[in-house]
Order: sequence, then structure tokens, then C-alpha cells
Amino acid sequence: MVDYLAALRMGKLEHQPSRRKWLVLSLCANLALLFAFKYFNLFNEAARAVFQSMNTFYDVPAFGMLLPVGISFYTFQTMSYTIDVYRGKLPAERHLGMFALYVSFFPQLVAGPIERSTDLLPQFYKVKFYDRERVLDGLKIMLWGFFKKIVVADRLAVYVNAVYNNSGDFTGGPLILATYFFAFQVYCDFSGYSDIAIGAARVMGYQLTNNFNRPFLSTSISEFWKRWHITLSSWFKDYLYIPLGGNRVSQLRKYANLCIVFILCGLWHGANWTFMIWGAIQGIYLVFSSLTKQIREKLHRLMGLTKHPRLHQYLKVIVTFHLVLFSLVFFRASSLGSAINILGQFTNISWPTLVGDIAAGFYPKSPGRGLFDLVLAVGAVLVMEAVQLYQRNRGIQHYIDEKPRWVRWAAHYAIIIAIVVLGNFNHTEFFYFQF
Amino acid sequence: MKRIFKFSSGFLAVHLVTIAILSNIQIRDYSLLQLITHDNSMSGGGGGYTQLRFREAEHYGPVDILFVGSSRGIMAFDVDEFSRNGLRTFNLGSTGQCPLNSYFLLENFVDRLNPRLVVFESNCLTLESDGLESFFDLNRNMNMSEVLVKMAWAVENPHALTALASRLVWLPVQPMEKNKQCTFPGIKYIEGGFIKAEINNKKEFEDKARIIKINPRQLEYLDKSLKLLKERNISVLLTIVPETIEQKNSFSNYEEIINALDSLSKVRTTSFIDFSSNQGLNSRNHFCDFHHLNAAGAELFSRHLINYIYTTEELSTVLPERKLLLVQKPAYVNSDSLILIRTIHDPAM
Repeated sequence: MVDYLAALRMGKLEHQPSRRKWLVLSLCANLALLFAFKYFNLFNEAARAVFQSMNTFYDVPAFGMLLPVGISFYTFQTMSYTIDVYRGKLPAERHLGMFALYVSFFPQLVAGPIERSTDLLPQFYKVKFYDRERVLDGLKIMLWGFFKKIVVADRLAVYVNAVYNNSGDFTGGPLILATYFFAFQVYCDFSGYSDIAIGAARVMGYQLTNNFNRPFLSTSISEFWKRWHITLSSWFKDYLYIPLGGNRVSQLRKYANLCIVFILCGLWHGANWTFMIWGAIQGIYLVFSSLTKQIREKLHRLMGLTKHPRLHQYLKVIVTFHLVLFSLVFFRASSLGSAINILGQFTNISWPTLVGDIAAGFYPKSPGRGLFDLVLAVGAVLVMEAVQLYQRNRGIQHYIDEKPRWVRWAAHYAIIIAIVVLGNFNHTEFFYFQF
Repeated sequence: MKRIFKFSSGFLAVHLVTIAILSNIQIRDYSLLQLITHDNSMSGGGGGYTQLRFREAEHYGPVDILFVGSSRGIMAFDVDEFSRNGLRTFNLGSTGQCPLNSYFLLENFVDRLNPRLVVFESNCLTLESDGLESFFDLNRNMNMSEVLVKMAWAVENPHALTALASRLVWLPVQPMEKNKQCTFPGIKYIEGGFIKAEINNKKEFEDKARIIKINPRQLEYLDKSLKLLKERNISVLLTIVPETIEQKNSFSNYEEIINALDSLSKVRTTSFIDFSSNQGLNSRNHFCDFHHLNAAGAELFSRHLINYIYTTEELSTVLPERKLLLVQKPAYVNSDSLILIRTIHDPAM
């Protein structure tokens, strides 16, 4: 209601300076709610620790309210709306129902994509008709999303949770594999949800923004952030990085801005120091990448990599993927201490018992069955990656749609049967629901 | 509409063929389908002797006490001890059986077995479960019936429907009568559904301390079961059987579970007793592993339970008069347990 009324007021004022107080009011209301529900306890605990270390009495109780699902997503969505109205990019929405629909549009309410008001609000005013092709397209996108979530992400989650939740019990082999699995788990979980949201909206005649574009094939960290959680990274770029000065400031300021943006991006993911460290690592990667650009180029020329562009490309993809993987240890670990212990354990690999150790992550009491599950998990990742690789050149959906009817049906049946038979149905929540 | 029908029937046909193929590829003791869906159940009834139990249940006459519950219950209620006290009992348990599974089994068997009292075994793990494990066990070892279809649907896990479809596909080729119950050394099936375990599988307790998350559907089905029995005027005793101290300590929110069961029993005016500790039983002598009672433990616990039933007015009144028989002290009973036996056989009680 604050955003709705503040935007209406801003809409009536012609000059930006006079609109500013309404924007400030809206932003303060949004951030205060987000802080109270999500970050208060984190900072309260930190303050308690500081006061205790100074032997000073501190007795501010913890905030015991449940975190509203999807608060980070819709807060950012409404903030972008008021900022856009303030900037004069779109008129204030007068219809309270339409505004409420924009904030709570069910397919993307709990885990995005974070839609811009300029894209989504006008769609609500367009009359929708039943279009068989559009409905089928939406259902196919949803189907692929379900495959990624239920077959790949939830299967990998069993291993990742078993290993990361008991990291002290495992040696380097299972920990490294769990970290690889986690990368694919979090990708398939979140992009699977995005596909389901995009597909559900498409069925109803709405177009949502694509949130992922094969991020693990990125050749640099900056490219990774243009392909991973696209709506969040573009939000931070448009509403934080550019207002802070973007690339038009001194190098030092630019690097500081990058670090600020990514630390806040980490904090957006959760009220835990691990997320802040994860964000800081992303910022450091980007700063380091910018600082060493010329040296790296020279080194690549000396190594002769520039003569083999394809090999060079592959190496860049591998290096970028592993840099992301390293940071994900902090993203998944329950605490900073745990993340550091896990990284320390990476070198502790027992080669003679490696296969048994790895399989024990799935079935500690039956390595044979664990191995079978491991094969299934790796197979699911390979299928998903093969599809992603194919999509590098053209959409697999178009490829299938051009084939004879029996091939099309067989492909869709295969995905449904894979979901029904290979899926993990142990009620694993979407990872990004916690944000 | 025609297209939807064509799509659905086409999908069903392809799905059944896929299931038929996957369930016929055998890797050691299990089919490929079982390995994929984590269906651990064995076609020969498994260590819980489910096949023998449910064959027997089809023909078992009226009983005084009917037990339902998980493998903990199967191995805890010693039918011989009950018959020594003049009580005819039957145990309708299965592996990992939770209230959801028990409800459908009761719906199917309660009129046939016509019990005066139902002892409903529940525990932390089964209250957390979705009922899939027990369904897998029953699906492979019970005669095909409406109960299985209802249960598969109620479990709300597509793997249950897949397992049911696999059973239906192969039913004409592999009817239940062709299966033979496999046997396991040291684990005997006793007529009436009891599993007498004279083994020791205790190595090191490995379960980590954790919080049990009650599945609200299990409480819902427990409530439905109590209602179903009440409608038939059958008395119920809701209980938790003895647990090892190691297992019990591994549940961080044990009190919360007890409170949930206690509140439900009060709402349904049902007796509830938590036997999980202080029964004079110990992990070393009375359990075959960290979860199940052995023969000695079951015998002692059953005496204790009989005593409890006969000293609880609302339960004892529905049962025939107790016939006290002098029991010879078994070789494995230790001095702690003797105190318990003496208490039970105290004529003043």
C-alpha cells in the first residue's frame, strides 16, 4: 500500500526533486520490512557479540516472526516499480487490483523472475485469447522445468545434503563431488523453478523474462553474471551499480562499487555471513579479472592459446566454472567455519577407498546401491548438460517441433516417464524459496 | 477432449510397457525399477515375513487383541506370551508401517479379525514418514486388493503408483501364490504375526541427533483410524514400544512427539502409554539391533503390556478374564528383568 500510494503521489508531481521524498518513504518502508524480517536477527546477534566482548549489557530480544515466503523477490520488484515511476519511465498504476496483481503474480511470486513493472504491468491490460500453440509451448517449458527440478536437482540434493550436513564424516572425494553436484543442483533447482514459472505464465498468455542462459558455459565471471539469475543481476546493475557511478567513475571507486554490489547481492540471498562472503568473492573475482586483464592476455599469447581459439574458449569455461564452484562452498555451507573445514578437507583424498567413500554419500550402509544412485545422478546431469550444449546453437524445442509426430511424442513421453520413474519425490523444497 | 483421451491412453500404454521392462531387468535381488525407486521390499516377504503374515490374516478368525504398526511392533508383541495369558492376538504390522498404512489395513481387516482391543504402535520415525516404505512391502507381499490401490493413491508419491502398476503388469505372469516366503537365520515367524529375533546385529550406533518433523498426514490418518475403531466400538491403546536409549536420545524433540500423540489420544478419548523407557530393558540384552526388541525383550515387554492392560479399567473390561499361568524363567532373563516379572505376577495386583 505504501508503494502504491507513494507512486500515485509521485505521478502527480512533475519534477523529480519533489518526488524524491515519496521515493525515500517507499524505499525506507520496503527496506525496513526486509530488514526486520530477514536481517534483524543476524545484526542483533553480531551486536550482542560485540557488546559482550566489551562486557556491556545488551538485551535486545530476537525477532521471532516467520520469514514471509519470497519477501526478497517481491520487495525488489516493488522497489523497481517506485524507482521507475520516480524516474518517469512509467506512469503510476492507478488500479489497486492491477498493482496487487503485479506484486503477487503467482507464477513468479515466491522465487522470481524479478519482473520489471515496465514489462509486466502493461501485459495485464492486454486481452488474452486461448491459443493452443502458446498453451502447448508453456506446458513444454514447464515439463522441462519439472525434469530439472525433480529428476536432476532433487536427486543431487540427496547426496549434497548427506555430505554437507555431515561434512566432518567425509573425506575430500565425496566433498569435492558434493560441491560439483551442488553447482548443478542449485542451477537445476532455480532454473527449473524459473522454467515452471515462465511456462505457467505462458499458458495464461504472459511473457516473463528468461532468468538463466546456460551459465556454466560462461567464459568469464562477468559473463556468468549476465547468464545467471539474470533478473537479479540486471536489477542490481540498474538500480544500484549505475546509480553508484557505474563505469564512469575512477577505477578505485568502480572496484569499490563492484564489491559493494556483490556483497549486497550475497546478503540478498540470506541472512548469513556465508552469503556475504560468497558475494564478496564474486566482487573480488571481478576486480581481479579487471586488474589482470592485460597480463592474462599477454600470458595467453605467450602460451599460444590465442592460436587455438576453441581450446582457449574451453579452458576459459573450465576455469570460470571452477571459480564459481569454489565460491559455492560458502553458499552451501552452514557456517563460515564449516566452509573453511570443507575447503581444508578437499586435499584429504583417500585414493584406495575413493569409490566406496563417494558411494557412501548416498547409502552409507550399502555402497553398491550408493554407486547405482551415483550413476543415475551423473546420468541425469549429463542429459541436462547435453541439452544445454545443444541449445548453444538453437533451441532444442524448435528442433523437436520440426521432427515427425512420433518423434515429438516420444520425446515428450520420455521426459514425463523420466520424471515419474526417476524423480525424487521426497518433498524437497525449492532451494531459492528460502530467499 | 478426444485429444486428451488419446494422449492419456497413449501415455498410459507407454508407461506400462516401460514399467514392465524396468521391473523385469533383475540386478541381484532387486529389479531395476526397484533400484531406481528405492523399493527395498523383497518378493519373498523379506525379514518382516509380510507375505506369511498377510496370508495368515486372510483366514485368521476373531481375535482379542489386534496389533498394528511398524517392524518395532512386529518384534515387540510376543503372541506366545499373550496366549499364555489366554489372549488370542494377531499382528497386522509391516516394515515402516505408519498410521496411513495402518488405517487402510484396519479398514480392510478389522471386521474380519473382529478384535476387542487394538494396540496401535506408533513411533517418531513412522510419524515422520510418508508411508511409502510400508506400501512397497505390502504391495509385493499382500494379495492384490482395493486396499493397495487406495493406499498407493493416499501415499501421494508417484513411486507408489509406479510400484502398483509394476505389480499389476506382472500379476498374470507372477501371481502371489507362486512366491515363497524366504527365511532368515535367527529370525522366526510365529503364528499370529510375531517375529521372534534371536540375533544380535548391534555394532555401533550411527544415527545423528536430529529433530523429527511430524508429517501432519500421519496424525490425520491416526485420527481417522481412531475414529474408525470408535465407530465399531473397539477399544484402542495407542503406544510407543521400548526403544534403546541410544535411539531415543537421537531424537532432539522427543517430548514434542509424545505431546502430539497425547493430545490426539485425549481428543479421541483413547488410552495412550509411552513404553519407550523404564521397562527394565537394556540395549545390550533386550534388543537385536538399536531399533528392535529381541525375543527376550519382546517376552518381557509383552508381560509388562499385559499387566498394564489388565490394570487399566477401560482396557481390561473389554477383554476376557485373565488366566494367570506360572511361567518358567527363561535362561536369558537377567536379575533386572526378574523384578519386572515378579511385579507382574504379584497376586495382589
